Amino acid sequence: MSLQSFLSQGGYAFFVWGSYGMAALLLVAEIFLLQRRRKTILTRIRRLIRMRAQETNHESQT
Amino acid sequence: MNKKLGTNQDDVATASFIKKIHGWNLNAVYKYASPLTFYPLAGRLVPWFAWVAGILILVGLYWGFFQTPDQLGGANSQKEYYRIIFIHVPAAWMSMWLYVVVTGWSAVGLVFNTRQSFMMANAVAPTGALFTFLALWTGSFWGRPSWGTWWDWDPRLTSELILLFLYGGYMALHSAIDDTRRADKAAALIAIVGLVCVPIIFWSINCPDPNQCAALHQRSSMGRIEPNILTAMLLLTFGFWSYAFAASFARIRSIILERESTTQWVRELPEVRP
Repeated sequence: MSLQSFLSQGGYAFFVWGSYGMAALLLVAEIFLLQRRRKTILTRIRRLIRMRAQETNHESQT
Repeated sequence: MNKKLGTNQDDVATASFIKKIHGWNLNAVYKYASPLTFYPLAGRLVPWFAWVAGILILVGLYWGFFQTPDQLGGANSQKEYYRIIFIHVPAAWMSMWLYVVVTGWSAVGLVFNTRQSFMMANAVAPTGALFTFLALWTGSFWGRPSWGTWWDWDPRLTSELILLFLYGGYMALHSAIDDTRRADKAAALIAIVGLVCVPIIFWSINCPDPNQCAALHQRSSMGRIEPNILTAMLLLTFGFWSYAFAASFARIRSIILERESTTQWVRELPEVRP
């Protein structure tokens, strides 16, 4: 089978690749969002730890 | 039952109480019923499920495009666009199955008052919604060349659309309630009530009398299917299932961190050290 005939899918390329394209897009988008969610919460926890450390420093000084 | 489960010790106490009253050996269950122990376990499981998903999906795609006939003959003749089946059917199966999983964890959470069960339900729902949308989208792209229409208010299509709204309702209700424990319970109830939609979707194609309900959607033809088409479909199904495991475990890790951000064990994790 040639690449051209594979890509054209008998003239139904729009429908076939429209379906597979959306599947790929959704999976990639979800993986991206999952990574971003993890990064966000890790950053927030690091900030919480820093804030707590500053508070205890401040308390020990006064 | 209203005892606040604030610490891991409480979860362990609940689990050992359940063990006592039922006489079951739930050691392994309650060991991982706590976020403290499940967080690292989920982290180890994600790459395994991700690799299995990747391999199954790639082999399934190869099988679907290169080991199957280009066109279908017979009573339901279809041209190349039938290949949408390899995404459409696995996505539709996953959309229903993952809703059952969300409902199952919601019910376990309500009955045993275990926080982690609600977190599991929360972690699975977005991936279920994704597959529901994908089933509708690919169905639309299949319906246009085969039926001549993008959409029809056919029982199968309509009930699948309602399932998408149920997923959306579950997630929206959960995020609309600030108190996490109340959000868990309210969303769990919505999920359980919505479960009625799944058997409706499942049997919506078996319309007994075509004069009473005009079903456009094909009936299931699993028994007469070409073996290579079935192989590709099953490969993609297990690939999507494995992907759903990987995505859910990755998501529950973030959910655990979000809910436990003030606890000592989260502060001591290597990934949050400065």
